[in-house]
Amino acid sequence: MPEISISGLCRDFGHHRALDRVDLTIESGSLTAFVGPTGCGKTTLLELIAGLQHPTRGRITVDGEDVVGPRRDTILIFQDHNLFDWLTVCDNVAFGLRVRGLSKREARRRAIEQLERVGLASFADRVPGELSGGMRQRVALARALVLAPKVLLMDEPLGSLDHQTRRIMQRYLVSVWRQSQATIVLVTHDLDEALRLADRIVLFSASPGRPIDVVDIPAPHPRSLEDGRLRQARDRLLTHLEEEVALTEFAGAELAALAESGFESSVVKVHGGASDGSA
Amino acid sequence: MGGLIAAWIVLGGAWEVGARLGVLNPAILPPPSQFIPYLFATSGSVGLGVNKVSYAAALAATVVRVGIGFGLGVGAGLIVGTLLSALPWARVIGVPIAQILAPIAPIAWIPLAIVLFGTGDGAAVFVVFMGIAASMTLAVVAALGGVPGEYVKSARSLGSTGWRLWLRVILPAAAPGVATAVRLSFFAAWMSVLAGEMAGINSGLGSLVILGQQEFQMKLVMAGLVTIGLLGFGFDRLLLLIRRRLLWWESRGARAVGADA
Repeated sequence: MPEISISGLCRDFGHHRALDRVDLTIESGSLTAFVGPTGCGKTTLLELIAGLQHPTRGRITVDGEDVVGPRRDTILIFQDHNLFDWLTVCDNVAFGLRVRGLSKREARRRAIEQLERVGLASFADRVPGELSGGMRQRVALARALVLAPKVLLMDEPLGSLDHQTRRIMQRYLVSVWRQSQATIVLVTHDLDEALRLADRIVLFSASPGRPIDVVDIPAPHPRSLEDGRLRQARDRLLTHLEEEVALTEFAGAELAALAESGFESSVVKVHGGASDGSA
Repeated sequence: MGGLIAAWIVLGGAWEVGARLGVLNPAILPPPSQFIPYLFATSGSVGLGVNKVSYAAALAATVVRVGIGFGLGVGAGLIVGTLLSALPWARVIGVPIAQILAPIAPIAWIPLAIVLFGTGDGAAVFVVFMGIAASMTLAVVAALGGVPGEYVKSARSLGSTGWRLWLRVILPAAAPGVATAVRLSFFAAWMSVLAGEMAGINSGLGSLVILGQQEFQMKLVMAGLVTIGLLGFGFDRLLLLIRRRLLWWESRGARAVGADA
């Protein structure tokens, strides 16, 4: 049964169409990655699923119900500014429980339990400013997981981490996914990250955003990018992604010049620029 | 703190030495060794009859005026700024009004203040209030507008709504920016009250300094100047202390600010 179902979805900002006729179903318990060039509306789609924005046309259902606002079983996590600087780690994790009406004491008790499960209990009394980037994202995950969400939406959650931390956190995400059995949708502009994590990758076209390719990745975890199945998917997605990035980054004349100089040789460069830039 | 004490000693010492060596004319710039004993000997009284002003009474008047005006101005700025941020339709007209009022120099309100309230406390409080309320309102609107969208979205995604969202997330997120504006407002308030007292409101520290000048009582002028400096400095430190208490999380961790001491 699909956990998330999107049909005929359009989202306009004034005269600008951010998302155009999106039809997509996301299976319960799956880990789906949205990949696409900057400005393709993938973040907008995530916020629409989270109920933080409303579609101009079309509908979204989660667990069979229309999304009309933020849902108790759906939590969104961002790249930055997840944790509230003015609350301790413990109170950050307790935040959602307090909103749900638990007493301060009970909320803190459960928050500490959750922090113990993820090995962060000794940081309970710290403030976010005292934590490393990776730890902050782990606390943000703990804050979501303590609410036992069915759907976890993540917008570039590892985007501001250094390369090594990012790799470790990718493995961590997979373990979180397995334990929580939540349906995860992850926005990333890093194709390799999507390949390492997702069992399905949805590739978005440049503005207006629309899914142009959906690739299932049947490989088991832990994965190696050298895996034949992954390489095949990577080649297919990379070609698509490069075209979309080139279309957003370059004007017609520049594209012609690119083609003349041999698009093949500029492939790595274009892709590298896309994955280093900000979303 | 050590550096500050040393700075006062260096400044005072240079003044003393300059006066003794005759580099600074002690008739115009009497050093601390002259004006401090003078204050104790005369209790800083100047003028005659109904115009007689004492140092202690002047000091008290100024502190009360700036305290009330600053409190009202900051309070109004917080309330109006928050309302304007929360109500988009009010912002359309409210922010331009504040933008029109904010650049009017506090001193320009003095004639109106005296006509409205006479030459006493009311006028001084009015001048301080008008000097800071509009700019404080704009600063609050800016601080609230500068709250990262992710905070609000995270909180809403976790289920927070309505006034709780404001109280628990938006206001704390804006607090550092607001605290900086409060501190800057104090400087404006302090200047406003003294300017008012020098230009028509006939009591308080500013008035005392002007009287001293008119009667060429330079020891009183210097005592007044040093008092104004010390008090202003003291209040600023107090505000900084309050900020550190209220925004306790700022002084912890790598992203700590407050290094602007």
